[in-house]
Amino acid sequence: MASSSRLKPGETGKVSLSVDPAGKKGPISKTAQVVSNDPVRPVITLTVTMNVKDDLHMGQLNAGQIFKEGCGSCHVEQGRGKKGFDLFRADCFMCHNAGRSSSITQMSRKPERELFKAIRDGVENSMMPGWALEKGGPLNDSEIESLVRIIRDPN
Amino acid sequence: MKSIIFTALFILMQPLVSHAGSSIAFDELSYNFGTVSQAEKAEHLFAFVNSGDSDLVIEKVSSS
Repeated sequence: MASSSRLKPGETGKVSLSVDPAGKKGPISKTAQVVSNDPVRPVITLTVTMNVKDDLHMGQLNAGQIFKEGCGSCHVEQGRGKKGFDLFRADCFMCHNAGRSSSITQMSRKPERELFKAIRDGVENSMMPGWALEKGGPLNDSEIESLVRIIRDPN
Repeated sequence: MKSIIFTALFILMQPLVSHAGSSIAFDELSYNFGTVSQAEKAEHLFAFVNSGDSDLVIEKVSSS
């Protein structure tokens, strides 16, 4: 990783630090520790940071896009005919897991009415689309209610 | 007068004395690639110079 391991006074060298962001998302960092015979600073830490964009969803301003072809095989088809937890796992969990959108724990604190409305109509200025049939989504009222129930009382 | 000259010399010598041995000096200790796509492998070269007065030996570079 270093271009040369022994340098005379005044000589220059380089340390390379590379990152492969495949499969990563959001802010990530990588550090390197350089150990030398410098008596004052024998260990130096170098850091690179980057923000990895989510390629699949970049530039999709309309959250309802996920119900259209191409996206539907992940966002719609897997949840067909399911209810409650099975439906949540199929349709919701890909976004509502730790670190991204609200987790089920955060959502469980909200009133039922608010949850129902958020699932049915979507949430403005977010990636949460309206899931109701009349909003172009795949869920009827009873399916949405089954989600509200398990979010409010996951046990 | 003599003591003033010695004092002046001593002060001038300070930077040299404090650099006894090797000294690793990096231009920068961190770098931000900005926003990248998952398909872009990113590499950054950190340049350094031996600003000391004896050979600098890089013993190990480990990354995490």
